[in-house]
Amino acid sequence: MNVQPQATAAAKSPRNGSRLRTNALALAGAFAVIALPLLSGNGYIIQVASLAAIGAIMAVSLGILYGHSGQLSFAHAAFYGVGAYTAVVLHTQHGVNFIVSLFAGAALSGLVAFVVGLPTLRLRGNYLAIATMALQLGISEVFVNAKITGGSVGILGIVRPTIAGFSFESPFAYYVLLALAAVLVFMLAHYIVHSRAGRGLAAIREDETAAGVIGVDVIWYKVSIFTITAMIAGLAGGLFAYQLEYVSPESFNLDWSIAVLSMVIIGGKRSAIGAVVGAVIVTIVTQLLFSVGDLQFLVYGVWIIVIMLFLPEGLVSIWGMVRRGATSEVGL
Amino acid sequence: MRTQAIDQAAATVRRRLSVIAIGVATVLLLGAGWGSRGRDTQPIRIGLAGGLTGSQSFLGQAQQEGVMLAVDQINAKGGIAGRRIDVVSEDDQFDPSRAAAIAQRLISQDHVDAIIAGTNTGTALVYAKACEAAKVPLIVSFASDNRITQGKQWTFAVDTGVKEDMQAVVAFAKQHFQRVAVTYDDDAYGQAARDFTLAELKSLNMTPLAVVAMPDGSLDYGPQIARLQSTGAQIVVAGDGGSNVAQMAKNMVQVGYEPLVMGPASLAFVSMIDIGGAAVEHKVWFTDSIDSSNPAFVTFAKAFGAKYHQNPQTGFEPLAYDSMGILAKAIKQAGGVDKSAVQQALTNIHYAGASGKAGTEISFPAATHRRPGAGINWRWVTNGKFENVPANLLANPTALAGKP
Amino acid sequence: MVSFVEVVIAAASFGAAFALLALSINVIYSTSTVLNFAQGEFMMLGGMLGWALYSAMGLPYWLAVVLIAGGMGLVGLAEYVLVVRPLLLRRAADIAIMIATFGAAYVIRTATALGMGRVERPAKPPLGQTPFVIGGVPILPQSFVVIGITCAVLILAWWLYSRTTLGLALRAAAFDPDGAQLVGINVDRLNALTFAGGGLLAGIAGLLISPLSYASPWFGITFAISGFAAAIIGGLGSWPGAVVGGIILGLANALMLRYVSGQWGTFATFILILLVLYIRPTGIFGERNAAKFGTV
Repeated sequence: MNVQPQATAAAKSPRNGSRLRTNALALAGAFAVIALPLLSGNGYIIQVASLAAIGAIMAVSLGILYGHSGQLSFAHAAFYGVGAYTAVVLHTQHGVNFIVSLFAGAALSGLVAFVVGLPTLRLRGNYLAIATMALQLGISEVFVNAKITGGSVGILGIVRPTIAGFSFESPFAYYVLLALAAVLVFMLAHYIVHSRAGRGLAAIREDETAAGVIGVDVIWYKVSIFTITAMIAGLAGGLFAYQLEYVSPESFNLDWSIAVLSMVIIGGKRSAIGAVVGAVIVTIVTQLLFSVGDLQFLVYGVWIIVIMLFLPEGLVSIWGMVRRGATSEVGL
Repeated sequence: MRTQAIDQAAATVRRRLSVIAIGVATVLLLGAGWGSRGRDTQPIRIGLAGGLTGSQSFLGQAQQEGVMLAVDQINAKGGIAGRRIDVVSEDDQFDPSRAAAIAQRLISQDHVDAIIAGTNTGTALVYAKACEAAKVPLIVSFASDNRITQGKQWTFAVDTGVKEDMQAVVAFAKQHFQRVAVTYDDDAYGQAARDFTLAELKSLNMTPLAVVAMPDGSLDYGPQIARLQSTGAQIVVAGDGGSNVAQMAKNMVQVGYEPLVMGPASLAFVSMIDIGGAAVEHKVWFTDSIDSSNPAFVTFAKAFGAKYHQNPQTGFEPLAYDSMGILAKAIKQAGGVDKSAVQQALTNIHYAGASGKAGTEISFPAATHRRPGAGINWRWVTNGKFENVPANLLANPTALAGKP
Repeated sequence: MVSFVEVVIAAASFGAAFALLALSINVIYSTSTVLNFAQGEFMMLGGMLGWALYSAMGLPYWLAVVLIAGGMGLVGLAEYVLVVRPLLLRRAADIAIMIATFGAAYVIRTATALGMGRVERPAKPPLGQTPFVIGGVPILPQSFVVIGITCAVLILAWWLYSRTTLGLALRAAAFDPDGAQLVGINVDRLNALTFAGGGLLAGIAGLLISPLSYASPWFGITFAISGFAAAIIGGLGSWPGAVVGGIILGLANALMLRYVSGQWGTFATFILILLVLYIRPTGIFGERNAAKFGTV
């Protein structure tokens, strides 16, 4: 399925701005609707919605990298962890401003991605996947063994922040912050995908050599998007650390990288909407499967295979199939 | 033409998103309604959470078996003051963020009266935090990091702390041996055990000959053992938990290096005897909470065998059994499930359980909220079974500490 | 010195088993360019079946070997038919196929854990536990078994690839699948064959390695990573590369654990993989096929 012409059409259209607004508003609306039951004060639903919002940020980030740019990273959980530990060490342990700490975490994740990405992104497809897997496992070892991360026990005593005099200590207030961040990341994704660079990345995904020939600086584009998506993952990690108020290596291992990947695949890898849908569905299904034990991994395995075989564009493509004909140009 | 398409697209997007939003909200609302269905005040609701998946799943399973045995026995006698016990069981996969969701589900949706949880350090910390905030009594079944209960009001741990366990191991080592090395698993428990061991050695003016990581799940510890062997350590203090101890013992025998391996109860895990075979016989000593000569344990083991058609293998099953027993006793003393009253009863409880040394009681001193170290009992493997170490050997273990 | 030799020999045994796994990865990769993540689970399953058939049920060792080889061949074939083939026919991207094999890995792992128990199992070595002492160095009999069978398989594979018509077809398909199809080679059937072969080799590797440690339904991911590391260090698709990669990986890991740090040894191994990918992405023997293996 070639979505490039659609992306191009959307970007050229004068209505692009309004479409972006529509999307953001719709997403804000979605979170607002989810927020309604939250007002009932049910701690469980707040917790699940918070996890879904964090999952959505991660999935949107990996969606840009994998779905839109065709680069597969298994190190997203590592970047997430780098962001989380950095934010906690700076804000909780050294009293640095929360927002500054959050972005410092994102920046450090980006730096790691840049340094590792520069040589690795010469490789494509399979090789990058394995290189990022080695990176993920290597960084997990650092989380487990380093002093600054508190080893396998991790870091305790984290308290949700106060920003500009407003306390986000209650889970609900913090969820609002998470939802806001998710909407902003969603808008950012939309902007990236529909920018000139976004079209260049789509060209790289379709044919790297051809993209190079028509003047796309392949390595630079790949390194940039790898770095940017790692920064988003780092941001999500920082936000996660303060949601859970506890960080330990178990939260940043390969399993989480794979879980985020499954969100992207199940929802739909070509669009930010797909990633968000995937994050929400996977988060909810995970909750429903809590009591079935190991069987849930069988469900995941079969789920991934079935999606890859029969719905390569994810669950959101069902909607497209239903609507096909009337709005054949919809390329979300 | 294009603009029209885009217009339609935007409309579709709006429709599509609102459908998604409504769908999601419905699912969540249904979930909320469903979870709180038929909330009857009659039965006592106990939340039970542990890791039931992956290589450590025997922990969650042992927890479930022990607790359910106690629940069956209590319900068979008509419950507590005429009220049955209902258990809501969840699998946290040893993952703290799953544990956070489960804690909230148990507390704010299932409205449980108390929780038994904590098959590893990370999740136990999360449950403790949630229970403290919601003022729900929590019994930590296995997790033995001392930080879990420190400074807590509502959290009580039935196992001795890793600190006390390692102090006992080091004190014993100091008494009988000079050349000591330390190994550890790199999970939260293993690292805590390492840190307490090193601190304790230091306070006794002993220097370990080597401190070596033996991560669980490695295929071969030969390289690390070569390093230990080169130091000539007579005794290895192992802060490990899992299959690594059996594999380590096997690798030691292979190179003809057979020091005594001593450590906490986590050394005794379900397949250690299977995998270790002759290599672990008499060579691995651990401070378990099982005492074969404790009459309460014997009664428990009989009932356990009748229900599950197998013997309790490790110290975990009786710990879980006692977790429920203590909770039941506290509820009885409190005269109901009023959470403050139960918490108060737990604070003052004295419980002679199936776990622990004969003649000792489980209590929760205010400073630690954790069973004191006096319950520790030395165990080993003999004839393919976990047994108490004979008293004569406890007095003179050097006879067994083989060729360094 | 004795301890150094001990460490090296033990490392070589593990290295040989991973060489076999890397070989099985290459068998599949060189014909279809599919990186099959379920290979680690194949190896795990081989070990678990070895426990079940030989240690628990007490079948003769040769029979266990034959049953595992055949059974794992069928498992590999099943994965191809059910998961990989439909994606290849659709000309799905390499990465998409790899993700689907991740799904297959989950299915195999969970099915094994549910079917054969979630606990670790002891694997009985066919030649016993008593080490031979050669020049003062104790060597486990199983080390000889692993190294010996690996060598035998390598010779057999070399003969198959370089001296038979089948081997010629496999090489042709690896070089140019479309061209091979044109000259009448049934690439689909060859792919099926390589998946069966990949399952068989990985299963044997698992059977061989488990007596050195134990069998566990949770080892698959460790195996997969080690196998891919060995294959990459040697050069993806290269047969001598698989052997050299496996041995280098085994030695590097063991020597780092022995002389550098038990704590950071694993970390160092992953850094080694990254370094190889940076400095020589095609691995030690992979140069000829550089273009195919995707460096820009």
